[in-house]
Amino acid sequence: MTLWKNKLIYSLQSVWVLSYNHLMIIDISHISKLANLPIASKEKIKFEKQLSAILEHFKKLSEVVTDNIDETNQVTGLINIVRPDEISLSLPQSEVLKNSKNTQNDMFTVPVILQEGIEP
Amino acid sequence: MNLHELTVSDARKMLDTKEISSIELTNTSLTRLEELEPKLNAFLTITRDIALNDAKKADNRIAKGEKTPLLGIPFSLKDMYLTKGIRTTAASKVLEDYIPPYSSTVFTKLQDAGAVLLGKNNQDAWAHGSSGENSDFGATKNPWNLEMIPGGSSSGPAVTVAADIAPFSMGTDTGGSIRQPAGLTNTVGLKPTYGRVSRYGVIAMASSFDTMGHFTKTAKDSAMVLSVTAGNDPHDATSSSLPVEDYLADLNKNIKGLRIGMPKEYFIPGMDAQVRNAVEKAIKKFEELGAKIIEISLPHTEYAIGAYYILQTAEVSSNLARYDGIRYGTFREYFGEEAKRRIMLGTFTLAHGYYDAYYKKGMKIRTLIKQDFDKAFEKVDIIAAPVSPTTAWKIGEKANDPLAMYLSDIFTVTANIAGIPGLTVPVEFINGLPVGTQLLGPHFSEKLLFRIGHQYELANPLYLKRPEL
Repeated sequence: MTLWKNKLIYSLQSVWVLSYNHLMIIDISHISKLANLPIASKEKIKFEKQLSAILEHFKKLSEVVTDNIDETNQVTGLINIVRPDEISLSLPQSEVLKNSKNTQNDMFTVPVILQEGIEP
Repeated sequence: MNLHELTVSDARKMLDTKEISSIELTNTSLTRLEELEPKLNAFLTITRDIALNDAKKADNRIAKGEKTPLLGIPFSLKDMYLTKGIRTTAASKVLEDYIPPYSSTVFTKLQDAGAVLLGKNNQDAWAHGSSGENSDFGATKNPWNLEMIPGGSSSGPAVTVAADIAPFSMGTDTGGSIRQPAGLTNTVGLKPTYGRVSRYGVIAMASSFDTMGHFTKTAKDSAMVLSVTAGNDPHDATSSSLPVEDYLADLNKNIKGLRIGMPKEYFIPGMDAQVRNAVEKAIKKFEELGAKIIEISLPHTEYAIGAYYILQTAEVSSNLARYDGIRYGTFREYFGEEAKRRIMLGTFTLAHGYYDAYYKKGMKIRTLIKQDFDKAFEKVDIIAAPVSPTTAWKIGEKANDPLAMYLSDIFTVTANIAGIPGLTVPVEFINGLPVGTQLLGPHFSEKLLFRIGHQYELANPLYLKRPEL
C-alpha cells in the first residue's frame, strides 16, 4: 500500500517541482489571523510544513498556458435566478435564538468590537 | 431471504403486496443497526422513536392504497443534512449540540414520500476527507474488513447500505465522497449532475461542487431514490428546472452499440495493478454486452487535483467563516485539524497577492477540464473509469499525510469540476475487498447511467455478496 502511494506521489511530483526551486512558506500566524482561527503554537510548525507541501503541488498548474482561457466558477450556465418578490414567513425569534449559548434580552450576545472612550 | 437484505425494489413489492409491513422492516433495520453499531461506528444519532412512528404512518398510507417508490422504506442521512428537531453535527465538535430549526429539502422530500429515517450517519467532519477518519467522533469501519477504512467522506452512509442496515442512504459528493466509498464497500453510489438535487439545508462544503446523492445496493434502487430527491427547488437558485425524467424507463434496454470511452489518463502507472485489471475486466464485460469501447483522452486530468484543492478550499474557507459560535455551535478553536488546514489553505489562496496565481488559475483550469469532457462526449456516450487507485486501506495509514489523502481523490474530483453525474458500480473483489468502476456521463444523463449500471449488474450481480458480520 505504501508502495503505490510513494509511486503515485513520485509520478505526480516529479514534474511538479520543475518550474520553481524555492519552497513557498505559508505564514500561519498571519493566515490564522485573517481566518479568525486560533492555532496553538505547537500546531503551527506542523501546519506550516503540511500546507507548504500542498502549495508545492499547486505549482504544477503553472505548466498550463491559460492566457486566453475564460474562468469557470459555476457549471450550470444559469444566470440571475431571482425569486418572486413575495413576503414569506421567517422563523420565529425564539427558534432562531435557541441554538445560541449567549443571548440577552432576546438578542445574540457578540464579542466586544468597540471600546469605551475610543472614537469610532 | 432475510428482511435486512432486501433491496429498495424488493421491499417495495413486498410492502405493496402486504407480505411485510414497514414496522417489521423498520424494526429489522433498527435491531441490526443497534447490534452492529459497536463494531462499525456508522451512526452519530439513532432516531428509533421517530422511525417507528414514521413506519406506522407509512403502513397507514400503504393500507389506503398509496403506491410511491420509497413509502415505508428505512434509510439514513449523512449528518450534513439538516433535520428539524434532530441533532445535526457534520461530525464536528463545533456543531455537537446543534438542533436545526428547519429541514433540508431532500429530507423534507423523503419524509413526504414516506421514507423512514433510522438516524444520522457518521462521516468525515464537514465532509473533508476520503476515509471517514476525520470524524470528530471516531472512524467508521469497513464491513468487509473492520481494520480498513470504508472510504469517505460519506463513510457512514456507505457502511449503512454495505452492512445491510438500510437499503438506501443519503450522502454528499463534492470531490468523490459518494463514488469512492461506494467503490470501497461494494455499493452503488450516485453523484447526480450539479443542480439536479437541491442543496438547500445541507451544510455547505464547497458550494460550486456540492451534490446530493445516495447509496443503494443496485442501479435500479438508485434510479428509484433519484426519482424522489431530484427536482427544482426555489430555495436553491442553482437547482435545475429541467423536468425530472422517468429514470426507470430504460433499465431493461440492452447497451448494444453504446459508445463507452476509456480515458487513458485514468489508467496510470501509480495505481494498484489489480485494481486496474479489475476495471479493465469490467470494461471488457461492457464490450461483451454489445457496447463499443473507444479509447479517449482527457488531457488536463493531471491538473485536476491541484485545481480542485485550490477552488474547493477557497469555498470551504468562506463557507466555514459563518461558524463563529455566536448564533449556534461552539467557537472556532473546536474545528478539527483537517477543517483548520482547509480554512487556512483557502484563506491563503484567496489572499491579496496570491489570488491570480492560485484561485484565478484554478478557475481557468476548471474551464479546460470541463472542455475535455465536452469534447470527449462528442465521441462517446459515457466514460468508464476507476474510482479509487487502490482498494480500502488500513485505518491510520494516511492519517498524518494530508497530501497522500488528497491524491487518493485523483479519479473522482474531475466530475465535480465539470458538474457531470457519476455512478459507481461494484465490479470485483481483491483479497476480500471491493473494487468499483465509475460511469461518467454528460450533464443530466443519469437515466443512461442507471441503464448501463443495471445491465452490467444483470451480468455480474455482486450486490448479492455480503460481508460476514
